[in-house]
Amino acid sequence: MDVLVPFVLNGIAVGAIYAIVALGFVLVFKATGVLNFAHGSFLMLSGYLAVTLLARMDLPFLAGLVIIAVVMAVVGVVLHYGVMQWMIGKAFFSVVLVTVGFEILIRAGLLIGYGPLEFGRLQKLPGGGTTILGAYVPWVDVVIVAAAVIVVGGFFLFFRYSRVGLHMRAVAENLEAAAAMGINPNRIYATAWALGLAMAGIGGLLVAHKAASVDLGMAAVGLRAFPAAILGGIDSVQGAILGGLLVGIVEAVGAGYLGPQWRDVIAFGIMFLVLLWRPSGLFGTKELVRV
Amino acid sequence: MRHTRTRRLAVVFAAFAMFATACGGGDGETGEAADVEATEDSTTPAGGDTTAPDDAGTAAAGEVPDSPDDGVSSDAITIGWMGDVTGPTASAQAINLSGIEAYFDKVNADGGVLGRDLELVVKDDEYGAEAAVANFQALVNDDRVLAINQVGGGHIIEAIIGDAERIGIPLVSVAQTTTSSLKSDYVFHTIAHYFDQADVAVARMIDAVGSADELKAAVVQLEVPSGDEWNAGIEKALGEQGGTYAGRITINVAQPDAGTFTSEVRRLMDEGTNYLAIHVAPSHALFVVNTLAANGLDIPVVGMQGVASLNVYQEGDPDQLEQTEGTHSFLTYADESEGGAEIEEFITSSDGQAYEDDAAHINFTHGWLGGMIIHQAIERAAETGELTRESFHQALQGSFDVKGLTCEIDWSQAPFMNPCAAPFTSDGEHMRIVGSFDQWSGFIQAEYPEN
Repeated sequence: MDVLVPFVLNGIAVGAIYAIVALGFVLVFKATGVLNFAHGSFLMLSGYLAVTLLARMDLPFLAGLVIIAVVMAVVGVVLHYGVMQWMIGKAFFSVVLVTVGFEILIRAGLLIGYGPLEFGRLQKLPGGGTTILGAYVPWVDVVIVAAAVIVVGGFFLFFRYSRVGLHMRAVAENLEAAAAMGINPNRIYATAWALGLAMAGIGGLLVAHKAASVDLGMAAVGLRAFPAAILGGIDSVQGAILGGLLVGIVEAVGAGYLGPQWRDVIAFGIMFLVLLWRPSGLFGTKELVRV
Repeated sequence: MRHTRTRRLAVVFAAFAMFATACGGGDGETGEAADVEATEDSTTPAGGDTTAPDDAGTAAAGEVPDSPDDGVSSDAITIGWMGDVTGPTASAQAINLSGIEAYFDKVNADGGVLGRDLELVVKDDEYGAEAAVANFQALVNDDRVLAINQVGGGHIIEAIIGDAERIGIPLVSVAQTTTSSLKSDYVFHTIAHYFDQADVAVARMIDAVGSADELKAAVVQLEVPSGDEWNAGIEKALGEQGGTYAGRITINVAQPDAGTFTSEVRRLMDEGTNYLAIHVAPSHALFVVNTLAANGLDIPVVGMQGVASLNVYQEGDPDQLEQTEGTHSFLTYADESEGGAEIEEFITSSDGQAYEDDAAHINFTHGWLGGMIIHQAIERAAETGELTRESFHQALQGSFDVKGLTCEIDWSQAPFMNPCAAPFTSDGEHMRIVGSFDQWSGFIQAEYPEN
């Protein structure tokens, strides 16, 4: 029992990061239909950006968070208008390959720009920790969970109550009808890319405070958000949140008891089981097959 | 319409994600011994002249005919380098590459060897065994190299060692030791085995606390087989040199948990543990150092070669790093040695300025030393009248003038090891040895696990 609690608490912190990252991934897919395989690399990019802003320029955490979110949102807009809008209507795998190309470019760019050496984990959040249910929890984990709650809550308010959020849902629901009502799909796509990459950016900033170091392996965290997104339902915003938390906790507990070699097996094993049971994920839209 | 393709996309996506995860699944270590099965008996082919040339920087005495199948053409001698330049262990291995490239540039600027340039063919495997096997085949069959340097990754050594022995191509100054590589006639090590490093780590801990009776050390290790080997080495060394083994803490490679780690260290300290002996890659060394500091855990640390990374000392918490050291086998140019002076002379010359930053890292010297040994072995082989993989392999089986960059290397007898290590720390700009290799060599038992 005294081992289970710290595993679960660590899993919640990891899952909170997964949830934010998966949310961005799902958002882009839901609005544009693009499976962005470079999502983890955008997270990594923001981690390096965090090194520049917070470690080298010594900006405070909140300032860094805002700047990174804005910069990544701008990158998302540029990405859409510069590249992705020209891929609309193209074959599915062509679009996927473009995102794979982004992944390669980002990695190469970081290697050239920052070199292969790792950077120390960022230390802009309070050191020390507190005790929860008898387990020691670093303040970093507490802040990560709090930040995730704020970001996800803010997104839901935006998505549900703002005009742009309404337009996004309309485009996702029925593109033709939304366009007929005067909604500009291209602008909505750009907004989705902006929000999706901003989420990746915030995730990257948080990972940079929790990971062993900031290095070219960071993209793997983004990759681990994939099963979270699929588990929750790849077109479900709520599912991404739940999927992220679920994968984080189950991974941490499972790997804690069975060993680290089981981490991927657990994450992807759950995903496959859920897909067999519910092919559209826990909260994904069920398919309607006409015969 | 999009909804109807969700299922198909999800399955495709899942498969890709699994594939990508598997591809990126390195444990982040490098230069480490892996837990592997022995496959070959060890024999020592008869060596030739085992005296190193007096000056590796001068042209060799004899001339040799071209041997294109062995990487020897009329204008170049080709050596292969296979390792991780862009993958998860690139932060360590790319510095090794820089070291041997610098050495070859220096030799070529001085006129080459045997009237030929030294040419390095670099193959990046991103720490993946499949890519490494393909790279090995390309180096051997397409590039026809004379020998191969680096081979970073215990799993990669294991993947190619059988073919290397069958083909007869030497692997020189590889990045780590494995049980199989220790028993191979074709693998030549310049870096100390974990057990050697553990012997020195325990000696250093005893030296720091005052006596063996006062030492109570715990191991912190990554959850990988080589971590278990480090733990076994520390436990063995404590048994031989004295001191109390307090147990071990494991760190998850992919997602180290600061909360659990902190709790475990605090518990051990409450029970009297006064030193940590850690097994980590540089990134995890940063995790340990920064987590100890962030949580007010005041305890000295000594680790294996992953800790002795300049990057750790430049990126980690400075207070904790004042009581953190890592063992390694090579001096940087900042410590006094003949070889160090040569490195310094080169990196301050117009030909070598590009290497100045990398030269502050110990791994740079590892790469440079590999180049030195290859150079000397080429000249020794040439004295037989031919330079082939076979004559080069014979020439490796002798002693080499390492110019003080590490302990004396003598590969006259198998296993072809260099049981040499010392603790290192940093002055902020370079890695610096604590004491000298001579001071610590007496503690090294050079006894290795059978499996």
